Amino acid sequence: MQELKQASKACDACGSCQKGDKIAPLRRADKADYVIALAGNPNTGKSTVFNALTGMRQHVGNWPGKTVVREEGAFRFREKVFRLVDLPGTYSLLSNSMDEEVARDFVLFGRPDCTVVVVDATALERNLALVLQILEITENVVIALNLMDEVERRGIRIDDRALARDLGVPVVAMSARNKKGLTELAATVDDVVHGLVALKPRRIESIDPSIDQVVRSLVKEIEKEYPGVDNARWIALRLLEGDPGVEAEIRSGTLGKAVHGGLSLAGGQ
Amino acid sequence: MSATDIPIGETACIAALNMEAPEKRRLMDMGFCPGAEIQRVLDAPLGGTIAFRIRGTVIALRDEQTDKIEVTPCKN
Repeated sequence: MQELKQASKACDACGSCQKGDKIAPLRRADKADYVIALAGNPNTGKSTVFNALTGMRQHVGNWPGKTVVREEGAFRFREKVFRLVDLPGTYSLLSNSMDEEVARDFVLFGRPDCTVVVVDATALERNLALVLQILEITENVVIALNLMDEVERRGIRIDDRALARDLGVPVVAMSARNKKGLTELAATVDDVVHGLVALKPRRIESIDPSIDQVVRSLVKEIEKEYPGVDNARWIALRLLEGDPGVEAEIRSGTLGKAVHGGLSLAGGQ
Repeated sequence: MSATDIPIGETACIAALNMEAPEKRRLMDMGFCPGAEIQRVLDAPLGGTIAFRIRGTVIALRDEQTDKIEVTPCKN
């Protein structure tokens, strides 16, 4: 905790986020200014972050697969109301089960203003796969580097600034269960939704031109069939990959059903 | 050789995943990518399942899957 204490001291001295910023838990909000998705691998503390911000007491358990539907809550911060959507843990945006589908659909088709990816800082490498997948589809991302207390206890050192630089999105070191870093997280999310942070998400740059050409033509087809669909490129890549789930959902028009009743509604047909 | 052939306690590196998309993606999501180091740490008492340490965690796979994971000795 020594480093967190030091960090907190440095934070007091800095003043770039106005002191006095307070998170006011709201539980439910009828009208929200912003929608924030809370994503991450299973068992990284998403629900702990969620409860700490919203004041809710959603069940927190140390086993994967605990959150199977999305839970919603809200908090007020700097005069704005943020609706927070706690998603089931997932290793990937390529869903393999109902709960992973809920998470995938919300990130891809729920149009959150910002997606917070909660990562287990003690197993950073494993967690980065999902981070990179989310960075492929949206730039409004904040990485919540959770379980930093555990990192310090184990003597692991993490260069969170280098991580933020390499990923191209803000990284907030925190320990949700000790209520450390929550204000910093809220402030960073607030900055992102207001466009105050330069975001340059790390993406795979080189894709074979022949593949790219096929992807582009497939994107056109998808957009023709479902006008206004979100993330057509992502859908095209899954179809080319031979993802049977996505293919079935495209055929039936039910892709994204967990969010808004399927593509035909999203596409406004 | 396949991941099924790794002696207990030994480490090898993944060379290829000889399977089709959904299963392959699932394994890659869990960290089983070409180049990744895996250590066989535990066998199920009645066989059929092998636990590997990979990227800081332990994941158990069925024989049908480990048979299709091609491994080589790690270089270094």
